[in-house]
Amino acid sequence: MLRRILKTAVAGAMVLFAALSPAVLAHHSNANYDAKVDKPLKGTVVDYDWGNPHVLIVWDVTDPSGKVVRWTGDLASVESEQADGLNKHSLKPGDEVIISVHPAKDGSPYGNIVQIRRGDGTMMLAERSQGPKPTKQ
Amino acid sequence: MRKSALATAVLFGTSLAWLPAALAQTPGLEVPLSLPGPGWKTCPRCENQAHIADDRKKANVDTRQFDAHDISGVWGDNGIRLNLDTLPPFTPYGKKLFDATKSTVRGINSKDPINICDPLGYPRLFTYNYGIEFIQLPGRTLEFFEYGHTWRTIWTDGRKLPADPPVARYLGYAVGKWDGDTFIIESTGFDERPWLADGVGVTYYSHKGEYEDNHGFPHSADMKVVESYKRLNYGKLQSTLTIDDPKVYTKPWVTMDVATLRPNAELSEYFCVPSEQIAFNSKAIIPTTGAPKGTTLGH
Repeated sequence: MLRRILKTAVAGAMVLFAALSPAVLAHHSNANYDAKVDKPLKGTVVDYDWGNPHVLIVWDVTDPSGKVVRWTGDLASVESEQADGLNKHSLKPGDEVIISVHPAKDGSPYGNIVQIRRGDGTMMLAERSQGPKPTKQ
Repeated sequence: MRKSALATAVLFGTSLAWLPAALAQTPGLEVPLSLPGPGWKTCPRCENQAHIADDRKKANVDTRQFDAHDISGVWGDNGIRLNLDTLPPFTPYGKKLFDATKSTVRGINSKDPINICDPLGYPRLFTYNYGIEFIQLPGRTLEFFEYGHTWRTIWTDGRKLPADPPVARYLGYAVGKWDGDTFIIESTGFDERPWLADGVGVTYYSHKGEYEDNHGFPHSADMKVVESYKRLNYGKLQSTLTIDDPKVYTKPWVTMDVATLRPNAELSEYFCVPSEQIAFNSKAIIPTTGAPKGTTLGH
């Protein structure tokens, strides 16, 4: 009996959380990015472009060989990024960050940003409410 | 039996105690709302899904009294998206127009007019939007769009649609009337350059499950659009969009969905700024397409 009640409670909780979880809306193609890969890239912010059509972050990442690679990451519009909790003051040049991206399929240093942490690991953007994952019609 | 009843009571009580804490931790509600200041509301896209659900609950949108002939208010972004399951077959001429929209680069449609901020036109301003607002006035209803920060006038003073409009318009010529509790809008006189589409390029899942963005859906200058809006309750607007363009499609293309009221949002301004868009294309889009340097989009 108790087991049945527990099962019901767990199922109810799962339904509740599924209903409350943020839906994902896509409004542009991400076909050039590999959605199967989340690539964390630790580096230093060079530019934080808080503008439309999409917010862009440029940051320098030192690869294992010691070479500095300049990455460009794409977010969504400033409207959508406010929904994610970002604002015009969120980042500035010189900030240490760990940014996870769906990287460009061709290996070039471009990516669709899926998560942002500060250099100390503090979460800044845990999950995008709009994109990069597309919604099936 | 008594033990089971006791266990049920304890568990029920525990779950009641747990519920508010769980709701307080609804993913997304920890994100602070972005407001310009006291008395201001957020913009439709500035809220995440948890905020939207919370606003709608607080406003009792499902049970609140409403006037069936009042469709005013801010309705959610991406009001309705084109239904590709009901896409009719093209006419031979339509197929020719469709083929001409094929992208020259991969991953984004190079020919999409949105890439250079050309007007989205109607109905794309509805099927891809950042929030809309209907305002009903004597003799006309205004439909405001955050995207482009522009508006469309739907005349309700009894005038007829022009038989031969002197100038083609991006948003066409629109007249509206009430049929029972349904507001019907008919429009015509469209400029043929805008596409029928959602976001950037026509991005959608095809029936094969592939992410498609190679083509745009065309229309001719003879396109007629009929919309109907019926308030199902205070917070839901049944919306039907019928695109009738016999030159391009062999039968009318019907999309039906429900737009949702956004009780705690007000329209902001989203301008597609050509200089910003072109800079963005060269910084973040073109380098990922494999296109040669110097490639431009929007043609």
